[in-house]
Amino acid sequence: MPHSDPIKHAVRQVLSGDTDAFRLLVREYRLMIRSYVGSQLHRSDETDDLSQEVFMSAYRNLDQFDLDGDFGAWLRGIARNKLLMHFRTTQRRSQRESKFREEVAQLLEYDLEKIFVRQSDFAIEALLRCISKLPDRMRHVVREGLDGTKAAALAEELSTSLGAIYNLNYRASSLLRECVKAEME
Amino acid sequence: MDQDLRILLAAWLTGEWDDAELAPALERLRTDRSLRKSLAEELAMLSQTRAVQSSEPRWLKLEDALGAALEHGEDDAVFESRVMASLSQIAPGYQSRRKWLTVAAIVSTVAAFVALAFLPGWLNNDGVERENTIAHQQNTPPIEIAQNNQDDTNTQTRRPIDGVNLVSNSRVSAVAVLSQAVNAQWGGNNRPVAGEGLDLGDFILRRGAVQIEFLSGVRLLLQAPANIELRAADEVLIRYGAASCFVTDMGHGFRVLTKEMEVADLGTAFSIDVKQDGKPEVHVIDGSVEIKSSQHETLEVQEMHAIRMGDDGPEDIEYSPDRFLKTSVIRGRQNAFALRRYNRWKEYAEALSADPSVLLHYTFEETDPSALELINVATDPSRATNGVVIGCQWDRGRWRSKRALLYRNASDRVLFQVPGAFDKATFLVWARVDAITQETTSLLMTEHPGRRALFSPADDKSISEAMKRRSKTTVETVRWELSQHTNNVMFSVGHGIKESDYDKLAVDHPYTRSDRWGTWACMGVTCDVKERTVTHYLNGQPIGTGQFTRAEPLLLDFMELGNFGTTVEELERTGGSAQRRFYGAIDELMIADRVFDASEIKSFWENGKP
Repeated sequence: MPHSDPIKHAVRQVLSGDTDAFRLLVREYRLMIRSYVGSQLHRSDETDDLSQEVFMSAYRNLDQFDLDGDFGAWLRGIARNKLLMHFRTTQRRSQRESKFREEVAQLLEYDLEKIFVRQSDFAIEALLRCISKLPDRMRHVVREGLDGTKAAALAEELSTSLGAIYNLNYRASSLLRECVKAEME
Repeated sequence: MDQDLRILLAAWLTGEWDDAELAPALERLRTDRSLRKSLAEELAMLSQTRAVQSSEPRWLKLEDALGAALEHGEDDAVFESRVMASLSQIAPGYQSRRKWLTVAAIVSTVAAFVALAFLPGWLNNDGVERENTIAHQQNTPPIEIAQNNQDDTNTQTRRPIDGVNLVSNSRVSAVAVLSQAVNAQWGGNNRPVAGEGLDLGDFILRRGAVQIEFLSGVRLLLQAPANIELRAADEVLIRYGAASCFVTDMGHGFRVLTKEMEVADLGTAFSIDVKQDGKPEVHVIDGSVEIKSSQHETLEVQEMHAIRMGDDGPEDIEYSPDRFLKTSVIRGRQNAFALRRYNRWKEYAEALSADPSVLLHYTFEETDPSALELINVATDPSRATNGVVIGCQWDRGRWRSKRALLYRNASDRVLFQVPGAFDKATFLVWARVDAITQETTSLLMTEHPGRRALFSPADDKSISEAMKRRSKTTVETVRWELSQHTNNVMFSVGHGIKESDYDKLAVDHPYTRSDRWGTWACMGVTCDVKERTVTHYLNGQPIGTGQFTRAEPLLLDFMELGNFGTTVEELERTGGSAQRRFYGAIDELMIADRVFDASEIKSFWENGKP
């Protein structure tokens, strides 16, 4: 995470009326928040919209942030509430799926927080480099992503089974975690 | 791969599943901690790869083509813009709470403020008229407040014009520019510096004098003490203070509001004095003005006449324009003030040069109008060489009397050498960024002795000595750079060619942004190698501190100010992105072999600020 002093300084500036200083907060935390929200939503347009709402809510309620606290953790708290509201709202539309997503998100809340509290800009930069080092097929799968029907399409494209695609992505994830860890040491 | 993990992951990603298959997997997820951890790791990695890749889809293809990682940011900027755009539609809770507190505190003055609404063309309804009458009966004090008035008039940059549809109701970034400031000391939230654009809002001038140029074509000279509110590009409210307005043809119709009256320009120059405890006066220098008040008939005042708005209406007074500021006076004051500042800086610079820790101090005060060298005025000039000026042009610096080097061409630079490696260092520079013309701009960078050897005599001992020093350290490069990226000032020490070989600290630096271009800034960085601490400073204040991982002394040796030696091949290979030229002006550089504390850096700024 970025050093806290510029963050606190930016928060103070926004509170004193300098809206533009909020840019710094958006820049520093946008990837983390998009990743965090994205880990609990599967549609990228929903992820971006909800991430944006997180920042807007943070802006509205910035005076409630404890300057001695961790701004990233505070943002994730807002994101959790937003996600909960999102699940409740969408439940009406697709109760079966939303119920499943809400329960999984609640079950994983502790583990996801542990992962994202350690995330840094350096780790994100390292992740980009690590993706480029993956073997071709794995890199292809990682770059395509597995959302929606993409896994099935990839299986067809690579002439393999759906299970093999998930396995390939699983192995890629393990390699990426190891690679990022090595780069950070 | 765990079968339940695959089922859960597939269900999560596709939104489709077989209940008979999912139910046991979900049941296990509720009780099996390791399964939860694995699923969280998979989802986090999927979302992270998606987030970083959605930021630069085109870049990744390029990355594949080049076989190298690229930096990211474009789509992030779009996301940032979306968020910032949406903020403009939000009234934050804390601002509205603050507003309510303000409202409570000023309730007795609100009626007076409403009185202004009685002026023709503003608001026309009976309710307002009644309130206005009450305001006058209560004889309320001058309006002292109105922070962030968020009424409709404050959301437009120009007052509505009958029969004309504005292209957009959205606000532009500024309605005026602070073109001159002489010893200006501001109160309140807005504290602009000369050259800065002024948005709508309140400005409290406690000391000094300023010149404001409105985009409508009006120049306003304001003398402290004054409290004004910019309400539109063609309208200003003066709560108190003395001002002179010079209105061009384009600016006809400009309005100055006070608690008691409205002065509408009819093609003129006029002065207005709104006293905190007296009656406002208007002195018409040229042309005429129209004066309107809530209780009296509209009055036209001709040039070389003056009125005072009393309780019984306007009364003629002696025309005395000399009491007010003139452009020539403000310019004269500014020159005198600048000369005092310049002399103060010279005294300070001389004392600084005498500090034994100062290795290099270029004051850019060369007497030769086309000097080829910057003289190192440090006490022991043998610890760093003079600077050799390559390409830069001499120009005026922070003050009219001060000299600076102007960087314009791609090859402009200053070359010098600070032999040796250092455990502690402070770098301070006064620079004016006129533009960031490429992704990365070099402020100060070391240069490989091998590259310098290309242009040096074959028997140059400084090269061989530098190569010897280089063989004893892992430090390859020391860089102080500005960039177009998020954290746009970076100090880094490279120990190899890979990204991971660099220790770096990048922080946000507002003076690299386009709205600050053309403004002098005092930039600094300190580095304590043993403590591994690096701190960036801007205008005397720390803007970020960080830790380096390595504790290798900083090897400086050959350095370049405002550029970086790039070969034609490197430029061609990188499509020009290896270009690091600085585009602006520099008029002081200091390098010391100790860490200046915050008070010393503040003093460097205080004594050198223009």
